[in-house]
Amino acid sequence: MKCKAARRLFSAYMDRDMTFEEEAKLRGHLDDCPDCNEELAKVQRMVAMLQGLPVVEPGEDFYAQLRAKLHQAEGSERPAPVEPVLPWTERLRAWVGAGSLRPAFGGALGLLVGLMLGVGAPRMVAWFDSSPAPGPGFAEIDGRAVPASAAPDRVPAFGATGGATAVSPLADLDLTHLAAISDTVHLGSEPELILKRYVTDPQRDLIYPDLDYGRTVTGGAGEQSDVFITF
Amino acid sequence: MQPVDEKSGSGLVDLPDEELMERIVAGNELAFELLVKRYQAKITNLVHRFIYDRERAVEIAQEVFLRVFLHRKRYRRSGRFSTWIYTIAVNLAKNELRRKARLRGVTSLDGLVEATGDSGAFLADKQPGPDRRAQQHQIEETVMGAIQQLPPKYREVILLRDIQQLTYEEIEQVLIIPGGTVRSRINRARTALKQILEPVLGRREIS
Repeated sequence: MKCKAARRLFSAYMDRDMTFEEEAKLRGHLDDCPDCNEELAKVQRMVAMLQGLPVVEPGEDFYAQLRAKLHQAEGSERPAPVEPVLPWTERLRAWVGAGSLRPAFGGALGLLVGLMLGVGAPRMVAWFDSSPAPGPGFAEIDGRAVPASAAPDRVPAFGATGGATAVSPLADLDLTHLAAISDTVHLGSEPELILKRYVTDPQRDLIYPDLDYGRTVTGGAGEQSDVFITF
Repeated sequence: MQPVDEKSGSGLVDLPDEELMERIVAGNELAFELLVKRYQAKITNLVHRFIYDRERAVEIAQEVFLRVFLHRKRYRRSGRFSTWIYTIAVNLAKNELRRKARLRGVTSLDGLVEATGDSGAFLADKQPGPDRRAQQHQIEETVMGAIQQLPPKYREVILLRDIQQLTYEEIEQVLIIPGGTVRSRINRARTALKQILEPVLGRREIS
């Protein structure tokens, strides 16, 4: 075993998370390598320093303060939106396609969303195609029927509300079952836009509220692959 | 274990987190208070290590518990409560880093680390203090400063493993990353922190 491979196993060795075979190989290397012995000792000393850090006391009035905030928050909770919640994918499509985004920002966003959707699970395509059939109250975006309120002219554009804080059309959707997160992309800084891709996993049934700025939005449940935007 | 009297709340203190959460969902505020007291130090410390700002850490820890309560109906018994609350805490701590990064005009978390400057600079000024207490304080400052130099993805694994003492499997659940990634990331994080702390790790008297 070479030093590089041995050092990759240091943490597994310290945390007793290795096979007997790996441990035997590492011990064999350590018997012959003073440099790796010294390196391992340094990592162990460092971990001991971390564990020896003094504990911060949250304060005796922690719960009293929390309770006051809780009552304040409960009193100001918004009632549920009266309008029906639209499929988030359609809101995203409508929002991106609204054309009133700042050009560079919108273009980059559209490209990224396209890329992310393009490499997404095939199941997502089927899910996209499950939009409601055309009929009263529905409009068409790119040849697909969506609720009329999702049509571009009714979607508030990001950063285009005359100085008021723009609200994403995706902002009032609920977070559902998430189990894996990958690919975070930062675009610009004011306000920050983060694209995330989540893959849901019903086996894990984990739920994470409001992962990032403001609200985290999601759509679908079960085994769909989703793209999310947070502010 | 003492039987639980739902009216007086006696016996609640012995219940596992998940059963306290069941009662919180049903509106039992005493159960919530017990759960807060069980975790308030752990969460405050985790956030403090993450952002190195005690006052904000307390505020953020309170925000964590607020979210636990306000989103209590989203909690599922199939997942451990501790994993759920640590996930919320890590996410809020990272949000705080982003907020600070934006204040400094830095657009990404990794950029914040770069913006904090030379990783060895804070070590160079520190000379051993005259007594043990001063020396301990100096070590704390040195180690905390070093943690702040780590990229957030390393910072979170090292805090969860080496300070909160979570298992690899628990970290996998909290950060929602594969087990192999947890293992490699912990090793890389420790290697990175060791490199930052190299000037003091060579001195055995502070170990």
